[in-house]
Amino acid sequence: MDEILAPFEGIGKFILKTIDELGSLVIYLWESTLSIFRYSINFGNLIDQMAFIGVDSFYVVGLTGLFTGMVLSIQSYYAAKIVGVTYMIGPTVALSMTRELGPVLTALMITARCGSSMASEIGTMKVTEQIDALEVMAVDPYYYLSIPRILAAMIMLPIMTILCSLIGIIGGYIVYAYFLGLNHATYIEKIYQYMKLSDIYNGLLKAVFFGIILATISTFKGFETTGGSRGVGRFTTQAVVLSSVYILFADYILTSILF
Amino acid sequence: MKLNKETKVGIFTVIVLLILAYFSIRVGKIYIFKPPTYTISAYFKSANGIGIGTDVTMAGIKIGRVEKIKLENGMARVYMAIESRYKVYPQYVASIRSMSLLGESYISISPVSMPPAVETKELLNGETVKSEISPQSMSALIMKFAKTADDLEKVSRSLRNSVGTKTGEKHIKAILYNIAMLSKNLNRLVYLNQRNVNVILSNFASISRHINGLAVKNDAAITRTIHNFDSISYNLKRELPAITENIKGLSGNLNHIVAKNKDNINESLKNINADTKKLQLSLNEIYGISSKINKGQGTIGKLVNRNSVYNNLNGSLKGINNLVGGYSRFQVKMNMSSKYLVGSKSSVTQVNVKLQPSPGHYYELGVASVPMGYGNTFGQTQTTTYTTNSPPSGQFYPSSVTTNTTQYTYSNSIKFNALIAKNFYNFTLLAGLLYSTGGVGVNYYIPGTNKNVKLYARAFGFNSTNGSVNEYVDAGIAYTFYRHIFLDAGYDNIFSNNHNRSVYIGGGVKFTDKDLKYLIVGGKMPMP
Repeated sequence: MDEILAPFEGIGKFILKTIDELGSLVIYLWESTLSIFRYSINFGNLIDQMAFIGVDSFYVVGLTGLFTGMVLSIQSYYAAKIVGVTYMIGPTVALSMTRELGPVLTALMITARCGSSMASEIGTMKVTEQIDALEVMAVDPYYYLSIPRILAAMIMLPIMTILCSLIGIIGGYIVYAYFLGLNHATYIEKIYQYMKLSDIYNGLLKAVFFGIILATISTFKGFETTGGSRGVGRFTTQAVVLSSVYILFADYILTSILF
Repeated sequence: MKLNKETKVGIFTVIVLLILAYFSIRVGKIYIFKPPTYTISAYFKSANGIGIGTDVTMAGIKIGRVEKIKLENGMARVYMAIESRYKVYPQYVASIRSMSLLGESYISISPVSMPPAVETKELLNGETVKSEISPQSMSALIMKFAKTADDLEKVSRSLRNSVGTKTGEKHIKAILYNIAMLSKNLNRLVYLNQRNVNVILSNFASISRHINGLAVKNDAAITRTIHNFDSISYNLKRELPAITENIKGLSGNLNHIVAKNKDNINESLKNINADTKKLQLSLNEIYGISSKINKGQGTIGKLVNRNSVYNNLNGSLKGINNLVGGYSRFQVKMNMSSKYLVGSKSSVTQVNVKLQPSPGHYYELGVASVPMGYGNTFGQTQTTTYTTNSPPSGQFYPSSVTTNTTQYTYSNSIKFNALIAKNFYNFTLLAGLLYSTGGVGVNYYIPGTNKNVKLYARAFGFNSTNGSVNEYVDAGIAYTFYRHIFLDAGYDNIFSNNHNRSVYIGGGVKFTDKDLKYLIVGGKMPMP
């Protein structure tokens, strides 16, 4: 009997856990937001995190963007060559990068690089009872740990997205002009012709949401960490997976709303 | 140099934001550092594919962009911002061109024919440049291709229908075969008959030669023949007047004969005339008969003329109908009444029978029992008294004086009525015998009362011999208040001068023939 019921039980438990998790996540975000009004922002930590998320992630994000753009360029070339619209490669690359791939890839890369770092850092602090110590010292952990990370992600994600998209478009240009040997002027001209401002800014808006999502989930998972160093690893993994899933999910929803 | 974190982040952010700003400007087509431009415009039949920002090129080089597009008089007026360093002259022509098959459009401005050296004036801001009929857009071309293809398809279909079928193919094969056979035969024929043909041709040649020779040989004969013809015509010409003279003579003789026999001819003509007249007469008679028949005169005519027969028949049928109808409409009414004369304390009782053949008129016959003197009816007795007087002395007296004294006595009190009455609307006029004297009367039925209330006036006793009395006139009102029973009241002998006037009241019963039937048979009367 138990064997038969077990899968259903599992589904129920999963749904309950997911809802529970989402609920506590929202509560956590709410608490963190409140702490801004309660204690103001810890600028020192904020700058630290911005440097960490933004400046230090430049290479990862830049490389991702570059190769994505190059791949896009060369893939669309094969398709465009058939119908003879190779001049549309530029807009294809640029629009894909600014609208979709830039924000999402940046968010995923930063999740992988910084989200995991945040979760493991806070998780370790949790496990080693440093957070308790903070509380004992009357330092609000939201003020000290969460808010700077969330805000930093919020601010830096769009910036990294801009870079990612730009580098991607440049990568596409390199392939277009040098590897494929096509007219480089056409590439740029057509991008200007077909791109609208809303394409850029909606992409950046998406990036802001992705930043909030990844930082919130990562820090939240860090705070939830239990079970020693093993627990730190497990919760870090959870944080990355959950962040990525939520980012992709939110991406779909935001795309359908914004565009 | 060791940068601290804040500086690093700040520089990074600023750089990225600058990049964003730059691209926003480029993408959003926001021009902060706009190169100086001037605006020209051109009218196009269709601005299809043109939008704000579309390139304007000259000789393939971008010289400006479309600023705005307006609809003016069904044409698209395209305003173009041209960079000031490029000059556009009035004789230049703008046209919309397509960059590729997929219809990427741009505006091309190009000089038409004049070399730039001739140009004097450059287009100023806001002036219009001529537009060319835009080259066929790709879709239009495709449409044309499609049309052509359609036509081709139609042709090929009809061809296929006529030729492509099995029978068509067979026919074509047969035709081709026949042609081949024909040419083959022809070939063989020509080959086989080459000699014959040659002979025929040489025969032809010799025949023509012979004819030629014949003509030459017979030259004299031909000439003679022609001469003969000539002489014949000459003779004819000479003889013609004589012939004419002969004809004249003949006609004269004929005339003479006719004159001689004029009488005979006249007679015979007369005879003919008489015969014709006779014929005419008989024809007239026939015509008269037929016309009479036609007009319906005479027995046959009347018989033949359907209309009259029909009318007659119709008339007689009508008469029969009237007769029958008259019988059916014939009514018999009876009334018995009595009235009491207040003045003379006497009463008049009468029974009248009304015979009504039609609603318009009726006859009234009746018997009345009246008091003495009613209706000026008097018996007359004459008594003669003779008185003899001695005449006075010296005078002559007649021997006797006769004094006539007339005594009037009321005659018998049974009187008779016999009246003829005619109805006009609500009036009935009566005339005839009333109480055994001549009389007239008028009845007036008050409309809307179903003839139940009747005003009447009568005058009778005209045949009175008693000079002292006037005509007897009475007037009254009769009211039938219940089916057969009526009341009667009036004033009797209105114009009497011997105080015989009297008010009377009375009443009676009246029946129609229907009621009489019931009365006689003894059944129950139908309720109206």
